[in-house]
Amino acid sequence: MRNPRSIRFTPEELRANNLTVDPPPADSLFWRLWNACLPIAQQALATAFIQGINHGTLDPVKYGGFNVGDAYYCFKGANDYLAAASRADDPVLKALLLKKYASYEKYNETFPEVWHVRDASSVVPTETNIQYAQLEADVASHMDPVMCLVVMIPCEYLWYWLADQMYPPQPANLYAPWISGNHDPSGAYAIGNYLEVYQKAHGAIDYNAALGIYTAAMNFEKENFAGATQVVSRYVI
Amino acid sequence: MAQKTFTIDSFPQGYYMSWFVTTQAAYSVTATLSDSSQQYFSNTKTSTNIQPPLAQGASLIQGSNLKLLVNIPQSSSLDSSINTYAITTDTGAIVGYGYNICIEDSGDKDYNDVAISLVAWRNKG
Repeated sequence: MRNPRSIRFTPEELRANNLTVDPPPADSLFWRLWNACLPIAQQALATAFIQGINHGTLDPVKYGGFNVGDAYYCFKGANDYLAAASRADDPVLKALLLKKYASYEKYNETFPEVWHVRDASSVVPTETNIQYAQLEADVASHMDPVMCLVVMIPCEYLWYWLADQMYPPQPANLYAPWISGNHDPSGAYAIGNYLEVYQKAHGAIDYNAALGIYTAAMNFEKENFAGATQVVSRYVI
Repeated sequence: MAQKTFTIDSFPQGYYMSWFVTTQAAYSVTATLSDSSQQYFSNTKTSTNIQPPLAQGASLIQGSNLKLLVNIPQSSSLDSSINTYAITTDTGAIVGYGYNICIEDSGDKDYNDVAISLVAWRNKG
């Protein structure tokens, strides 16, 4: 089972856009950003939410609440990547942004049936949900469209890395599909490799600007996980 | 001289589209909406008065690669705030799409110099 939330490329799409899913070079922007934010990833791994998934002890009510909050981010995210694509001149960058949009659109179609959530306005978002979605909206509207790939990577790679720390899951773990479904870095690696190609064609991406966006996104990812188990439950059995 | 092209990627061929474009700009603004089959409008306006609109109308989308070109020769750079959305039914099914694009052509950052609303529905009438 793969996680439909993350981006996956078909062999045809990889060939058409000259993309590779090998790990990016060690000195690439992808790894420089990741290594700088590894402490945030480790904090995310230590959250009660992720450890609850790891040990199969996470309260399913809180898992559900997290997913509904995530719906807000995913509905907003689809619109943001479409907005960024409308401004992108590089054809491969445009294709990647539209691929992410299509990936979200497909995933978002499941929310009405699975979680009974129609759209973003159906959700009572957390402050972290709101701020994270606003970060993506600001990047999509105002920054160089390539920065949308930078802000996308934490979502794409952190979830893989977390799953990798817990892999393989115990077969009896209720959350084994979450771990197995996120255990694929290919989409994130393709984006990381493309960032190197992009910089050769268009010049270096401003590292400090990229790190600022990336760090903010990593922190929002971590805060989303941390906040998911801090909600006071009003649900009484 | 500044111009920007926005590709309208979520509007499928065969959908029924409306457009409404206003300006409040001292500079001359030309906006052009076209696809592979035709030009839907190309109008120019120079006025800080929002009335009349630079363009309004509707058409069936007949081609592919729909795009909006905004050209403001007197501006040195354009920035935009873009909101895209899906039109959903009460069950979450998507029956249309929309774009709101607000453009800043100078330095006061009010993003009201050009405002474009594009909506496309699966059905007409």
